[in-house]
Amino acid sequence: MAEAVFQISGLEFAYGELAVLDGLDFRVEAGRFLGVLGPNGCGKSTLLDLMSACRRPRAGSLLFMGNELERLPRPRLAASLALVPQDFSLHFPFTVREVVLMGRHPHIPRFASPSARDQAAVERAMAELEVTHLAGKLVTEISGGEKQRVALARALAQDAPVLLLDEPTSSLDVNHSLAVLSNLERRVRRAGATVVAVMHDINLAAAYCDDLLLLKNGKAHFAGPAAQALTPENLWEVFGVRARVSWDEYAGARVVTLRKPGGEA
Amino acid sequence: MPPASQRRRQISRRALLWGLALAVACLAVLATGMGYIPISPSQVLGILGAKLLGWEDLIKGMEEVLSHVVWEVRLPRILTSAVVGAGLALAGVVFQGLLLNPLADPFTLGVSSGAAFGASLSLFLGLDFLGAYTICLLAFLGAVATLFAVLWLSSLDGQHSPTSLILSGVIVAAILSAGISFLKYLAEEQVSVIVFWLMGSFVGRSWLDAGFTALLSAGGLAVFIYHARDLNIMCLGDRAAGSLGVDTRRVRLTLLTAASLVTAACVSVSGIIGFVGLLVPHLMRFLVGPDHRLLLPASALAGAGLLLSADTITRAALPHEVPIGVLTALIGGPFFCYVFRRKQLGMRHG
Repeated sequence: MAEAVFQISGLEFAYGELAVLDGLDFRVEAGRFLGVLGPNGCGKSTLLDLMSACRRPRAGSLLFMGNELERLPRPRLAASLALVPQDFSLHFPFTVREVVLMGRHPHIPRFASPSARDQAAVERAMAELEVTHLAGKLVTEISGGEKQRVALARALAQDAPVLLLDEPTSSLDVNHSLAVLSNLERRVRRAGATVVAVMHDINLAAAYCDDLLLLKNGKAHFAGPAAQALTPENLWEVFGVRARVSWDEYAGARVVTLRKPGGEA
Repeated sequence: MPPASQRRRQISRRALLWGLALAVACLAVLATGMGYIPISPSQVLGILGAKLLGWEDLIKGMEEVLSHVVWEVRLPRILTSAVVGAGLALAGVVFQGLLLNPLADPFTLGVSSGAAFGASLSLFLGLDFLGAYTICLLAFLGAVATLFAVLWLSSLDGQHSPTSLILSGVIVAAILSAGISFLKYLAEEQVSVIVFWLMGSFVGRSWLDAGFTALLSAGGLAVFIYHARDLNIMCLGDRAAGSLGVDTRRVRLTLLTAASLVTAACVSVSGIIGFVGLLVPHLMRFLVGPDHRLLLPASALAGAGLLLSADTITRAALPHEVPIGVLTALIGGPFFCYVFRRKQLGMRHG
């Protein structure tokens, strides 16, 4: 079997007495788009914190490309793993270009100036996320959706083969949501990137994710191909919603239709 | 093309820093000439040349007293005020950057209150095992002890979140202020000594004061400049910074300790001087932007220039010497209100 990007087993985490992850097992294969779905407070963001070494697990093992994540030196990890957390607010008036350039931090020696290659990566990332026209603007003065695209551009500029994203389209309008996810999909298909994204929209997850991890009560309720994950039974058991799942020719994807609580069958 | 414009910007950045440094040097020379005995800038430069480079010809025929006034009386005080200004401004930049709070300053973490408590205690008990430097030592110890108390209070799993640091700082500072009030209450006739020290002053500062603060501030500056880019990255928040390879926990602890030591050194020789650490970083961020690689040296120079000018005003221009801490608060406070209000309005319309 090929080496997994992430091999996670028996993962446990708790905030004080409150257990969040309780024996989680799953693996992330290279070159796949994995979506993480689950109800609020099920530990999706905590999982990303653990996978990006922002927090340490209470128990269990977390292997990244075959190495124990905790043992990897941070700068080395930064070259292969980029994270876009949910909170992408910035408190100081940097320009958009400066923020995207921060994504090159792992590639620029401490007292060196950015190289032509770094500049090119910044321009490319800004173009891909359609924020080039904002390059000279201050990040404190742009809209929430624009900030989120800048945060994503920052992660793309990092040029890491593995991307961890916490609800990457939460503040985006529909056209930008589709553009961002299509861009990520292209990276996975063409460049062999691996994406792990916490998703809040089931239909976007259905349209873009190869694999899905359904989280419930700190455990993997289901982990595997998206086609098998999205069943009415799983959606009922994880979210407690009644739904119909069907293939839609027009969408070019599986579509989940949710039923209003109390509605007739 | 980005590289060319980048280069041009870097040159103008360097020019700006040299310009600021030159301005501070000119201010220092002018300030040295001002006072009860006026001395011309050329005479000041002559005395400096004679003392520093041994060019005795420069002061031939000059009255002995002038050289004494410049070298023994005015320069130590002026340099101390400049170094304290630089140190407080640097500490302000670092605290604001680390706590992600543009309103943080050396007072926010209670470090200044700790120093004040230490100094008040030494004055109250009349300690003088180190002569005049007993106050300095106790102020320094008070500041350092406060820092560790605040760090301990706010730590969770070895992490210090900006919010819990600020809250812990405010709590500890409140307790220390009550402690100072209690000491003042107990002090009876000694109370005026404590009150005067707390108002801040550079009267009678020596070369030892200037050297001590300069040493710690320079050490601090080196640590800050080394971590300047990490500070920029940490403005993205701990998670993003961590994923970019910054060891946020270690950097935060290193910089908090260094900035607190610089604050402690400054407060212990000068008393409480407010608003420099708040105002200068704000002004400089407005002028040169938030990049700490430029913001740190620019703030240090501006802080030095500001405080040495303020001290010269109270020493030479006002009919009676006003405590410098009072002056900076009286001028800095309203100015800060103005800046803050404009920012609020800008936010609403922008």
